Amino acid sequence: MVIPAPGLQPLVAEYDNMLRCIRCAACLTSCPTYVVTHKEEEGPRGRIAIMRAIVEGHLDVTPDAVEHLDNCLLCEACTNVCPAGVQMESMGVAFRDSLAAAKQSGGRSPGVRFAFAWLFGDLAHFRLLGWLIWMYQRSGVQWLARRSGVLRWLGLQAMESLLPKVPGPARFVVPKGQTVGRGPPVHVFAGCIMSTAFAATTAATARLVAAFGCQAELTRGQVCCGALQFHAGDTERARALAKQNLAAFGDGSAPIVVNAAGCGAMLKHYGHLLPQEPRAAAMAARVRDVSEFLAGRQPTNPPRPVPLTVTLQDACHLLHAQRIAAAPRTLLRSIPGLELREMAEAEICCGSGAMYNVSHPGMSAELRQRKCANIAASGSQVVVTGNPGCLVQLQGGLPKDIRVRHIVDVLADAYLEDDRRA
Amino acid sequence: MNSGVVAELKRIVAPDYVHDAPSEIIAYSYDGTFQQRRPDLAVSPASTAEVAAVMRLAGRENIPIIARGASSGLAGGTIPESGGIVLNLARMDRILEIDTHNVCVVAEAGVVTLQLQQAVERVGLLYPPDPASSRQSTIGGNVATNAGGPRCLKYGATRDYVIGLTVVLASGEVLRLGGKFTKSATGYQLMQLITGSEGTLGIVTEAILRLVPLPRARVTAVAIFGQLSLASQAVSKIMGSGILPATLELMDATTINVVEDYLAAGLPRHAQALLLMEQDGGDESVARAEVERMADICRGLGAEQVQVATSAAERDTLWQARRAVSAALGRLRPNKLGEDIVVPKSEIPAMIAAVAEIAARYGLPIPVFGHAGDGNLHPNILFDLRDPAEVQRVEHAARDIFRAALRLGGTLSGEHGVGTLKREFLEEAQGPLAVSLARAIKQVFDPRGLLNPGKVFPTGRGTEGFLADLPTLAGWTPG
Repeated sequence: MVIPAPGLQPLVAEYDNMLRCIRCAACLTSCPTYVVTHKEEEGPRGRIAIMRAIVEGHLDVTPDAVEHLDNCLLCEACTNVCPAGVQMESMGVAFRDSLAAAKQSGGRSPGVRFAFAWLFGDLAHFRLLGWLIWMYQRSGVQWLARRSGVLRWLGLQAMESLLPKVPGPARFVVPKGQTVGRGPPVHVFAGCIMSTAFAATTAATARLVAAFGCQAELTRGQVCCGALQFHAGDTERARALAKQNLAAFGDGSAPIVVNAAGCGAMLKHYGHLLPQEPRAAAMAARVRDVSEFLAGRQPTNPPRPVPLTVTLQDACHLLHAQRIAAAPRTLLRSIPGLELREMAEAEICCGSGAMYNVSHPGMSAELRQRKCANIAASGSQVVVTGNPGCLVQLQGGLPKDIRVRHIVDVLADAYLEDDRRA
Repeated sequence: MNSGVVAELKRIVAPDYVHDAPSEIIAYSYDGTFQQRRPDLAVSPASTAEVAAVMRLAGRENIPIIARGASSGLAGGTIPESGGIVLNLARMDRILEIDTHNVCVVAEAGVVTLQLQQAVERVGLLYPPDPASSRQSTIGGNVATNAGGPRCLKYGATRDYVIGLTVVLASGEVLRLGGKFTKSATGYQLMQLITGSEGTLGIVTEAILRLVPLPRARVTAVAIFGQLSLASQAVSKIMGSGILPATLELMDATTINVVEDYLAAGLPRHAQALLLMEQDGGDESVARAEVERMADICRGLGAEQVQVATSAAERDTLWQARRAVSAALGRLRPNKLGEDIVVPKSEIPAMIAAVAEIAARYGLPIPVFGHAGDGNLHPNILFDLRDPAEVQRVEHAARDIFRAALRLGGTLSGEHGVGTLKREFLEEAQGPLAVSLARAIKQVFDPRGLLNPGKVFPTGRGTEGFLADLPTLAGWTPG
């Protein structure tokens, strides 16, 4: 009889969830890391068995166990195909929580935690980081850093290459209650990365909502959704952010439109994240991905033709976590001149994960290569997706003649007047 | 396992594909049942040559070899009951050739069944065996268990499609059987013997599979019944009416509801039974006429509702629901014992009545679904392994189900195999003479008993306590 270590309580709380796994193996072919490795320990069923063995006292938290569990992208593809109803994300998060509590490898150091708390606690802080990156990219320091080999020397080469090209700070979206359009009120969730690195897309999101007959508001007081913290096992920080957002978006009934699939999935999860807070579930029920929201409405004006051949990369947090597949396709097909071609393995993660490309560069690169080959084979000029992680991940791997674009930017070409954004 | 052997395995399959860390050993300890036992380690070879080299090493060192693909089996066939090396063949996943002239496909053992089906369908061909697990099961595993599925009613099971095999023998020699031809009266058909031998005679690393033209038309209908017995009568009547349906599947009330919880496919939750009927063929109108005749038979027996699917999407949803049944039952209780008995078609109503009576006798939920058209039913006993009293009742219920099937002129397993689950009942099913001949054959192929030891054959411990004797990882459990 072995009693699990105190730090394992979050994992023990997931025991019934683990028992749901009937070991049918239906998840194997949905799992990016299994598809690439063909190793049971790199598939969902294996990970559940490993966690269960830890909880039951048959297995210590060995470094190999940590490695295989931590290799999970939390892409939720397995949860989506599980006939027995296993929820992989909550199990994976519980594992990371346990690790963080036990201060073993994989958990973040206090310094990093403090930096995270400061950075994401206020969008103004995040904008400051965006400004620093913009300076870095503009001033010639980036050129110097890349040329000098200092990045390689610091081990930051892979991470640095993932930095999106940040627009000038003057273009950052600063939510302070400004509105656009007329009609029923809609909150636009700005997000941390989407309001800075992809500020133009977020500005266009508000105008698109307006073009579909609503009054879009960039609501004051909103902060980062907390997904990165939650997935890294810092549930407390995620809860604090959720409470700030709860205060910002209030108790009204207006929909909250989100243009980042990862943020949308997190916001929809607030009811589970804050079980003691009855308003959280009500707020979560108002959250809509931008594609989900627009596909359910009529535009004020018909779309202009956009002569493009595109393929759609289903963001994991849209397809698997929010189970939205039809909406982005419906929207794209509504655009005259645009041809949508499905790629093979559209449902397999591109390797972005929640910062997975930073923490697991090898596996992430392998998944990206596989994804880009499927995109190229579809014969498309543009790959469309709805999540910043996928945008950044794909940007680095595609051949020169294929572009990656946010679905909002493609829709903007069709629905926004005089919208030729830089 | 001594470090010299591990080092040699790492030389054969590359270090990254020797799985010997503690968590990895856990990952190769189970299958699609509740059974579990740790191997010494697992390896993932990439070729027949690597499999043969591992086998030669195992032979020299007297180490058991347990071959597996996705390990989604439902009979304990890939449980490393007495330790040894688990041979994970999932990496060997290449479709080597689709030969449209000879209408066959050459595939490695690790190819996923559905991926093979999709590949041949793209060139207008069909690989009919369609186990419900086709999304995850592998061709090697299908050959090892002679896997079936709904379409086997019309088209036959895996064995009917195997025309060539590459097999690594216990000696490490590589045996090639058959070829790209579909008839043979040339000596004993060892290929047919190895198909369905559950990894006890050799390790299948490659198969040549016969294909058929992809039927242009498929018509699907669902019949809803207020009583399970009416549905089972409808099955008997349809099968006696001169129609050979492509599929004729049965689901009872529990399975309808559990799959509805998972998929929300729109199945009627109040129904007591459902028949999923399909006909295929080159001509849409002929297939449709036969489905209409089946529908009339159902209506004649008092079916509440019969509906013909109007779109491919509707049909796909119905089949997705059907395929999900087995695993979705995991939502109801922590464990399940999935049986796989077969009875003569005329005895389906009697078998279904017997299962209901057994469920009542032991106070256990035993939902039933399966390939009613060929008499192959899956009564699933739902239970909690942590409750020893319940485990004993499950054991007796399972025993009574086996014996009811045998009494009605049927057998233990239609498509899952014997593995560990049904081995103690093999003599009751086949008779001592057949089992002793089979043992003699096993002796010739594997004189030292290294290939999947303990599987298929009775252990000699008898049927009493057979379930509690199965390997599980017992120990502390929370709650």
